[in-house]
Amino acid sequence: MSRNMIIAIVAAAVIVVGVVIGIQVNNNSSSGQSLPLSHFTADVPAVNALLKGIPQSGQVLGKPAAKITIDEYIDYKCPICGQASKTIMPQVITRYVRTGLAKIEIRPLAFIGPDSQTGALGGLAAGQQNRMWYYTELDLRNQGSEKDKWLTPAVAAEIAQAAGCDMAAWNDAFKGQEAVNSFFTIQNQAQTDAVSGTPTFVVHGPKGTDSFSGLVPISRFSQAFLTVAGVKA
Amino acid sequence: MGFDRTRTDFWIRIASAILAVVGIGITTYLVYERFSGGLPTCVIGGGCSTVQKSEWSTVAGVPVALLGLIAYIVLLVCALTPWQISVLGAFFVSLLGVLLSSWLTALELFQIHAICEWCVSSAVVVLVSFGLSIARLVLFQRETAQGPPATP
Repeated sequence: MSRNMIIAIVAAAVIVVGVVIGIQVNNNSSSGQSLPLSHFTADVPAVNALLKGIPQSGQVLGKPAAKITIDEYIDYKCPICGQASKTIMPQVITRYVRTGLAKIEIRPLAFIGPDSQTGALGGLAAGQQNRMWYYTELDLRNQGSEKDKWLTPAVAAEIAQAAGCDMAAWNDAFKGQEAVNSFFTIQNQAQTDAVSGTPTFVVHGPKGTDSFSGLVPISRFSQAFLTVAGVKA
Repeated sequence: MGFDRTRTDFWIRIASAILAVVGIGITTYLVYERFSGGLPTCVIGGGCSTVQKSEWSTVAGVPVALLGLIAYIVLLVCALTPWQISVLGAFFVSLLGVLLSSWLTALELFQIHAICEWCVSSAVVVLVSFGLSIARLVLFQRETAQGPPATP
């Protein structure tokens, strides 16, 4: 076994590893990623693919002129909200929001624990940069246990960073009065809408309002659209 | 499979085989979780699922864990066979493993910002396997240089 043979083996290994690294870097740099990476990075490409190109303004996702408005009450620690985010909401966003038929206003509540409020303030602070939906989707897809106090200000900051927020502005907004005021406004809206759990969806249209809660099938949204706007969707 | 207790590389091959089996266990678990739609459980923290869901967990669509499983199977075969190609194969595959594990660990630390204990365990296993493969290579070269042992 010659020295040259060993050198050839080492060279071959280096080449193979170089090719593997090249493939990985090439694939991941061409995936259209537009959010910075952090702990919540794993879902960034999926969230980008879901939301990219849809207008965001504050708490609202979708075109302002959309005929139907869905108010979605959530708790950032609510596991059913997390499941909805992974199952129903991508369908709702793709079928109804992206097409301009509906817009969704996210309304974070604090049902589960004091850190739910931390999460809500973080989301509302991201909303001031029109990135609340990135924040919301990244949080809901990466929740810790409902029983643990995992949603600390540091974690909220990580989510905001993954959501592409300007962190200096987000930090100011997170501690600012505007987010607190929005948070209490939402708690009052929830009382008015008789929200007793999350997620709750209140659907408004020209013909009225319909509301439902829990992990519902997509057909429940179609039914509501027919009721509130006479739209078969 | 050619295990001769009198050979100087006997214990090296035994240790290499044990490490390969450990590596097969780790990667089989990761591959199973990957294809069953589950996420690996971390004993400390929740980095395993973050790493496993990361876009860096595949190479051209092939899960890194599956590549690791194949590599450990090759290492096991090399450990169980006495031929020159086995010595070279173990050296090549474990060197590949060390280089790729270093790259993936750097990604975990600086890009994904999460540590997967299973991946780190596999990195340690492959690093030790690489050390053993060098020892086996050196012994093999020495034996080759000395010629076959004299018969009594």
